[in-house]
Amino acid sequence: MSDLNSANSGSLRFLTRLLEISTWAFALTGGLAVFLLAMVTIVAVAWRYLLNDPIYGIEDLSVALLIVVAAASVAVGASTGSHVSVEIGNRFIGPRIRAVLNVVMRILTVGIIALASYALIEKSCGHERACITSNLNIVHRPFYYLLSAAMAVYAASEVLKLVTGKPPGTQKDPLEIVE
Amino acid sequence: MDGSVIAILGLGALLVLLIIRMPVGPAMMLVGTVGIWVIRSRAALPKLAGEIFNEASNYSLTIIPLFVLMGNFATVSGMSRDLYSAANSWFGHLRGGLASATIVGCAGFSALSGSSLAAALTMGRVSLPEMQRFNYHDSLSTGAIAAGGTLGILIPPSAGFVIYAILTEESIGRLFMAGLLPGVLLTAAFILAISIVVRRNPALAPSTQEIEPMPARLRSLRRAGWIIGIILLTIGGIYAGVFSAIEAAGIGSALAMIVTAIRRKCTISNLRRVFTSTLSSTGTVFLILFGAFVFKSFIGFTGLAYDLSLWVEAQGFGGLQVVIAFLALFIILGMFMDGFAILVLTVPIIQPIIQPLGIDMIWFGVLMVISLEMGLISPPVGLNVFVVKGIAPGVSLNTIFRGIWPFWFCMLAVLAVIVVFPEIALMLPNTMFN
Repeated sequence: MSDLNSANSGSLRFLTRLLEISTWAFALTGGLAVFLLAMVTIVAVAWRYLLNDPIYGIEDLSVALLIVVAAASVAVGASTGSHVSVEIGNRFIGPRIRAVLNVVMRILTVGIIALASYALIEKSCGHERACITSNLNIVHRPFYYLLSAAMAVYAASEVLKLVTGKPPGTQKDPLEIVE
Repeated sequence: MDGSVIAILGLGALLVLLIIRMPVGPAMMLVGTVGIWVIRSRAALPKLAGEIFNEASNYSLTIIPLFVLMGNFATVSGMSRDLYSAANSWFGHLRGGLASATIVGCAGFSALSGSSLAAALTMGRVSLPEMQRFNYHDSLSTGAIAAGGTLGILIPPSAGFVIYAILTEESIGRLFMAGLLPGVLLTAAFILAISIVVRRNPALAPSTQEIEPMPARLRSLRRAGWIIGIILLTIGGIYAGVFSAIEAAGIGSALAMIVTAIRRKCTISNLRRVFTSTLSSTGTVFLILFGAFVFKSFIGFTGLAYDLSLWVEAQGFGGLQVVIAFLALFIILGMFMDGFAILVLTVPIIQPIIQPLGIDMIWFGVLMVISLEMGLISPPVGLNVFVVKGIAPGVSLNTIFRGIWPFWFCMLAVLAVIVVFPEIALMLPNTMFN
């Protein structure tokens, strides 16, 4: 029994560490992408006004950076508890039922996010010819995979909360209402 | 099964998921995917993947991380504090002046950050200790902060307007301009409310600070010059057509970054804070949008919006009646639900109903955002109230809610004025680019 417990806590530690590293990598990449997004926008405006010549394909570059930001923000948001939930009538539900509903809610969340992660890999670019940006021919597929990875990080963080039994309202989340 | 019946079952399921506190984005994603699977099973997964990718690569959404970044840099560089200090030195000597300065500070910060919560949090941290020092009653001080913060989603740049624009395919720039005059009107109404409340009950603001000499006032204004300059450049640039709203966001965030560097506040810990917070807030919006567009596709598949528009037409309701009914619905929903959730849940259903009635979607967007603002301070779950509670843990929720009512009625009055005089919202967007 104790072997089983230590194995469980070992895999839990491994999952936690893996999540920390993935979130850190997403935060670093996302932060850099936000910075570059601002720079690209500035350069585009400056080029247009100072050199009177719009940069060809600059919008494609912005879109590519935006996808990186979107993916990173979903992953980072999962770790900071920024994905908002709504308070409708929860205060009328007793703590025991609430605990059960919390488990159900987490399972459903993991289910749909994992499905989204799978769909982003399996169903990416249904129409091969439409799978590149319009000007610079940047291939979409790696960005689908990046979004899929972000969703996987979100799903894994929900699994961790499910396993550790962390109830909603205990995260550092300014958007989450703590009763 | 009839499409409308599937849609109603889907809406019911969504309500249940929200009640059990499933995050809004995944809840809409789940109902949307299952709903599409029921109607056209082979479309479900491609639609799920496609909608997520489409929103993540939606160029218009570039505006969200950039404006959030600008607001975060304004906070760490101390520009938001400068803004409050300037407002304080000009209004602080008036009775209730510190509360009015808080409102002006919130309005100014709102012009840099599209978030109500950020406005309430940032200005609250600066202004609450000042108001407590001058023995302002807790209800007035916390009420002013919570209400002032709501200006964040009305005064451009506004995350609410961006999401509304994406959902309705309206111009972000025009919506930003439409929010400007109502934002100024609401700011003036809040200040008027403070003056009336304090005149009726002077104990709410018993003491005032001494009047500052003109050179000191001008100095404080000069210190706030950076933030005022960035606000004028971004909003003025959009209005004059010098650059798009997205470009304004890029320029504003770069300028805010430069000011932060000039003030030697670009430390590693500040940068980490700024970028993590930016990603965090951006993630909130993106996940909701991913879910919203899967859900919107599902509603499109069911034909519910078309059936509803036929029903409204058959009843012979006028455009104004329908608008007023929806505004009342938003105010009620705002008491229980987050504003973004209401926006993404209702707009896909409402737009096909009101557009054929000849309703201007820009005008409706402004009305909708004001009614969502009311939800931010309405009991029992006004989010801004909980933010203020976080800054002022010693003040009871009842006290905060008591202080909010004058501002809530101000919002209702401004809402009514804009319903009667749509030009207040439409004048600037109609005169943009000359």
